[in-house]
Amino acid sequence: MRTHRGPLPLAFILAMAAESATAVLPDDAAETRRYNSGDLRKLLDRAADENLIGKPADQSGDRLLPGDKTAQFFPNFPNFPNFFNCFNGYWRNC
Amino acid sequence: MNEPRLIILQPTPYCNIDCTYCYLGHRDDRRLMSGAVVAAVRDKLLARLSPDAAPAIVWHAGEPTAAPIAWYEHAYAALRPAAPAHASFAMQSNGIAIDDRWIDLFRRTGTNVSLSIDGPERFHDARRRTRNGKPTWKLAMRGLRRMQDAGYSPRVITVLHPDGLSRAEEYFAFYRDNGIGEVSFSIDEFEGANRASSFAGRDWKAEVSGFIVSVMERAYADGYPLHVREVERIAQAMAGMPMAGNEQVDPWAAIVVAADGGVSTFSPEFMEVAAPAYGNFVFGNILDGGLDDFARGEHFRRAAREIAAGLEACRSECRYFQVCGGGSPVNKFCERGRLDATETEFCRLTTQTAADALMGFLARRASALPKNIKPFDRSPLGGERYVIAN
Repeated sequence: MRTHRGPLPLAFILAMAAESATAVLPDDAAETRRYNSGDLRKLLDRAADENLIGKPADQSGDRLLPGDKTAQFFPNFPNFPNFFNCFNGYWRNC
Repeated sequence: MNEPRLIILQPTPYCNIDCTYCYLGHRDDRRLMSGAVVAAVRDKLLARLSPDAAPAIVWHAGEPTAAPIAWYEHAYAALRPAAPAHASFAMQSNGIAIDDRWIDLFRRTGTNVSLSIDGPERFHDARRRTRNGKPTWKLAMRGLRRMQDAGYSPRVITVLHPDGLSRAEEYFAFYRDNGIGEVSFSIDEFEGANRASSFAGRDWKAEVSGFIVSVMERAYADGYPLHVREVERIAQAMAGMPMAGNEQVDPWAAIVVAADGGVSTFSPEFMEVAAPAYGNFVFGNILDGGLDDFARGEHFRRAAREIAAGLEACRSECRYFQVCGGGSPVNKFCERGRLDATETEFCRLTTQTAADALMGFLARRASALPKNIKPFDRSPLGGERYVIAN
């Protein structure tokens, strides 16, 4: 088996956001849903600070523990203090 | 004149294999793009782009590795100096001929390579055969391995057929076990030389969407970061991130230059469509003129006018418009005989299924938590730290 480690798909980040208690998804039936750009922006905004998206991952666990500055960027994801690691593919260190 | 975002160059129409669903009508034609055509691409196309342009220049439309490496040495030497600094070069290949010499070329030229592999062996080999009818999966996988061993992670394009839609677990295991991190799903389209799609005759939309959801569910549960390209593109749109528009409805945003110098725009597959009323969608020859000249031609102006009408019809009628951008003109023409048409089977089974799959995937995640479990105490990846709320 070959291994692959890469950036987390945006769909997975949205899925983690969707699992939070405060997640709000458009609840139209699939047959009638109108797809609008930006419909899921709020979901993502709750998950990550925009200033961090796109910056290199910080692999230092010490600096990304709960209660640390970075953790405060993701108040809706207390289980993912290293959320940015998820975004950058350090999957098991989320 | 728009700046092109996608430039497809056809080194040769020839293909070394013979897939049952191929849309290329000239795949027996062994002609190579001449030095004069390459020079015209350089002078009349690349050299006239703004320095800030960032087009993707893709070798495609035939099997690019059927052209000799020496041909590419000359082509890159001519094109690279004229291309904008942010231009990227790419190749869409079946992977069969890729060896160390090709990989060396890719490395020296900074060429990104995508491979066409239709998933697990039995599904791939059912349709992707050699010209003698022999299977090609092992040959394609050898190319993938060679590239991975050299440090590349090629994106894979998989054409789906109805017989694979109930086997999402096999497809996911194939991608995971072979270290494939990005996949693009398509269907066999009714266009060009392919006169019948295997999806004709009944509505497969729910099955295709369900297949994609199932692949994503497995990847998510397994902690495997598999990117489904169409879903990611729609996720970007729905998350409000900047994204490129639909280059197929934007004149000259996508340009194809055939081996003989013929130039087309809008959908790249137009180059394979016989349509005398539109000059077969070949709007000129780069040996004879430039894009400004071609844009004045009656065939181009008619196509542009009707495609614009189709775009507006999509905008007003289709609930997927904002994540689609107006569909694929070549599929409108091949399926419905009109450029100003709206929904096609291709729309339904690609863009629409990807959008539905994204929302279905998210809805299932949102409803995954029983009410008495505190959601913040559950990791979707670890999945073991549940706290039951009293």
